[in-house]
Amino acid sequence: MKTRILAPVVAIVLFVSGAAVAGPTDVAINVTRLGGDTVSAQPFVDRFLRHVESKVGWAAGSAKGAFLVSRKDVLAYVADTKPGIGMIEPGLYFEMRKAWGLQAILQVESSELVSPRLHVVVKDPAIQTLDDLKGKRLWTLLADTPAYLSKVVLDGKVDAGTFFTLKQIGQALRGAKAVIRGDCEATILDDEQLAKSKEVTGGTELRAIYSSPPLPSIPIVSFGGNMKPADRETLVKAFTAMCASSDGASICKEMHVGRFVPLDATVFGAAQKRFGD
Amino acid sequence: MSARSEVFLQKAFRYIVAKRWWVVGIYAVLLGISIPFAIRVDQDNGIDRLIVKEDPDFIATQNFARVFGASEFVVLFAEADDPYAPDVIAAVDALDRRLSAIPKVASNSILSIYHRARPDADPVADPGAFKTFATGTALFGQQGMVGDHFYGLPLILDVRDGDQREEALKAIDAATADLIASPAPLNALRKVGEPYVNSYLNEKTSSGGMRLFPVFGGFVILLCWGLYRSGRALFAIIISMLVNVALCVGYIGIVGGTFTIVSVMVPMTIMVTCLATLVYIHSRYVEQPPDCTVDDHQAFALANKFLPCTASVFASAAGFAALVVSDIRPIREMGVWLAIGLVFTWLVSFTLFPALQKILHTPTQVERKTSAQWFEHVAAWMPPVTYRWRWTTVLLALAMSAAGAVALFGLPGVVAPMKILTDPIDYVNSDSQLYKDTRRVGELMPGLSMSEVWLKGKVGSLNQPEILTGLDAFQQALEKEPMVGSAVGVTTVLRMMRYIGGKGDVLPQDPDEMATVADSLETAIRQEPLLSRFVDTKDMAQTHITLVTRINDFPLWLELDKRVADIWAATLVKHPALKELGTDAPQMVGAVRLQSKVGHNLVPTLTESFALTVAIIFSVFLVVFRNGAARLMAMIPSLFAILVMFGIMRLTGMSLNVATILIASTVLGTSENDQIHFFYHFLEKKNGGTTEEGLRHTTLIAGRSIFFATLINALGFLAFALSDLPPIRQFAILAAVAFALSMIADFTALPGALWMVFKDKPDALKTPADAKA
Repeated sequence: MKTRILAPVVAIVLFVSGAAVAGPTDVAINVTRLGGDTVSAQPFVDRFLRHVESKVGWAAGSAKGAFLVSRKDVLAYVADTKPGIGMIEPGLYFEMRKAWGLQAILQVESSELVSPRLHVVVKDPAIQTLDDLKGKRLWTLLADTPAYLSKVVLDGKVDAGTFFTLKQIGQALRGAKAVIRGDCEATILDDEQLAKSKEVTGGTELRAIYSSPPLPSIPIVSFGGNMKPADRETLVKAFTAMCASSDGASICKEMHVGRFVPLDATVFGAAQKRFGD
Repeated sequence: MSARSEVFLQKAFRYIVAKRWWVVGIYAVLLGISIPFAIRVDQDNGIDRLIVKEDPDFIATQNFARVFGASEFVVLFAEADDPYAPDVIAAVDALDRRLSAIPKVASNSILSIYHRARPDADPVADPGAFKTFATGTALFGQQGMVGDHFYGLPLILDVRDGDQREEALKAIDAATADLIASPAPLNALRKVGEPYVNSYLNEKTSSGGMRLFPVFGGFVILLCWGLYRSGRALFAIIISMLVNVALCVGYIGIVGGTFTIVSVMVPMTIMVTCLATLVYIHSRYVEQPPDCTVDDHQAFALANKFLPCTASVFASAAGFAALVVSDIRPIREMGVWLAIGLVFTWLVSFTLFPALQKILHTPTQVERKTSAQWFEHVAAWMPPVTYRWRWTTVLLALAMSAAGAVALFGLPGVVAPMKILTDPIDYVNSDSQLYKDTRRVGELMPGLSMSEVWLKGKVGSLNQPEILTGLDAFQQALEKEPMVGSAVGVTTVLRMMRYIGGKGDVLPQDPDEMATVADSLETAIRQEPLLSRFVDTKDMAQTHITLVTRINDFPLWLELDKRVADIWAATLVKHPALKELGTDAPQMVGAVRLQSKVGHNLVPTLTESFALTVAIIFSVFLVVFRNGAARLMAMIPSLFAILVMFGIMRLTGMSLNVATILIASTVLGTSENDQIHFFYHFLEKKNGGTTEEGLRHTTLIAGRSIFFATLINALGFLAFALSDLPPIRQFAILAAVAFALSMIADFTALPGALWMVFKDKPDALKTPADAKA
């Protein structure tokens, strides 16, 4: 059976300080919702960093990384370390783009980490449209990024922060089970998560009442917008070659990344337009 | 039997003998059908073979396996003076890597955990860091993964059948062979676990049969030759026996049966019963009077032995069929298979065997004198001697029987009932390395018996932080219970993961942090595969806590159930969220519990099946013999033999186990043949004659057969005393002893009791008044 991460990545952030790009490296990797916690993910992060160092030409061991599992941790980390590059979940990207001066340079291609479309899923037959969910409990991975949820995922139909009673969860299937149990009225799942949820006892009653437009993937971003074109080119080359290389393929595999590809400008552009700034 | 019936039977047997080639042809066809099925009958001593499928605990254990997997567990035990010495770490690490590379075998050793937790660390280069890691928490020690002088390497075997199990065990053996042969720097490397016990029993029961049946065959040839002094007679007997066994085992193959440590005795029991029946028939056949043709005498002999043989075979068959009341699957199967096998015995004895006698021209005493002519002296000597010693023999037999009953059932306040062994390791030869390893590991580990506390909630129950917190409290309360060696559950693994992550070996107290732990349980399963063995990954609704104990008696399991229920109730008060997992006592499941239950059910099985066997055989006696005294007296030798045998068991330190528990039914089922033949011929003369005439006649006609049949039965079973398996060895010795005791009673206490019941005396001692009376 294919192994999948059912929780989409909220933020996989590779932070590289400006100084590091300019010369001595000071690299941090911040990854959330790939599963596990900061400590247990560190060996994977370290292997990833060592590979990047070797391909970009940084001194061995110069890059530092961290795996962070919540928006709060990410914000704190960014404030503390001033990283240079991140692999970040689209919700966080759109919400912090201006504040952090983010520039998307690549995106992740992964059937395990990326949700190309999301659905609002309910169980109660009386709930037919989003309007029926007014004031109801919605448990989602996107509760920490309500603006992205409202504008990009729900296409501006409702203001999620005020329309629903939101609760942040760490696992998509957790939301599905909460709906089945009656702990909440709705959750948000992608196609695969919805299919998987239907295998859970009582899951056949789950159904989507709303489907989002196409959603952007996880972008690789630079912070501060001050990366030199040559450094940026070096990093893009290193990332795009990584998953096809003999030494990088296993690292991509353990991080559940299929490959790094150029940004899908159409989808990102449309999402940006919906987000509105 | 009426003269009319006898005439009819003689005609029927003449017809069978006349159609002898047809008979042989039919059996040849039946053999052709049976043999392919017979050779398919496999050997399996797994728990699923030892208990009936309808048993609720068995069903629960099967259901549990569907949720959490049906893995089997092996523990490798590496003993060393200093487990943290670099060379010891290197040896165990290398072993662990070899084991991890075996397909269908997962290692979860402390070293594999260390490598997962610290991928760049080298425990050999920095043993101090490894020791700090291993001893920094009690979690590893509680699970027996590491101790002051050992490593425990738990291996999980994801095998689905016996072949896969054997393959995995062979691979483990290959990976460990070097260290077992020369353990340095270890002190010893030991392998234990139920898969090894099952494999041992399968191997020994199979190889034992191959080795011991020829020994039995040798006894048969020796005795038949010694008795009849005819190769042709020997050939007829051997062929008939083999056909009987082939048909019986073929039937077992057709119904999809599998031999276990118990039912492996089925072919042996069929062979001895068939042999005894053939000896009765042939002994009568060889007594051809000079003035009678062989054909006429053969028809007479077959008709004459038809009733007692039929009665004894069908009484035995019905007696064995009574074992169907047992909840123990191999005992139930053994009963049915023996009953069917005995029907084949009856058919073969009265169709194929007479046809072979005729085809082979087996000689009678007219052509060739049989051995044991001294039995005529016994026949003359027995009546007066047994009369003289009647009180002594009868009272002695009663006293010995009473002592045997006390040995079995005990005497309140004085003697405890006989102990029943239910631990499978007790079926293993105590000289074997497996036995020694298991005993040694049992001393050092918190136990080798595992039971599961199965908790079932709603979808997503395990994602609730309050429930995880409650489960952790429940698990720790269980661990404090004196009957429990260690308790391992989902929260144990979570705590271990937190320890590896540098957060200490306890779950977070902060509700938000605990909510994160519960929230991310599914992703944690990806990190630590061991977690998936404790939660149902589909619904996150069910979990279990594995209790490791030293318990192997079912009453103690029941006591533990009560303690677990009490602890659960107490935990519910402190953690009401746990009510989602049920307010009743949690369900307890596990293969070891089932093994113990099998053992616990042995006593009712023994008493119920034995009582039924007695009732059925007594009913047969009612039909066959119209004499009231006979009905009672006929049972004496068998009951005497059985009870005295239990006394011998007690005196020699043998225990009741899954094999020896059947001894009573087996001995009764086979030895009552002797009493039926004894009485049948006794009454032939007693009716209208005197007790002395009856005794003299039956000793001459049946006595020789009883003597030789007993000799063959006893020595036949005794061949299995060479078995490597203690239960089989004990069963064989006890059966042989019981047959001998039964025969002794046939020729002593039984005639003594008959003198007393009939209030008669030898003809020579009778006064004219006695004669007139």
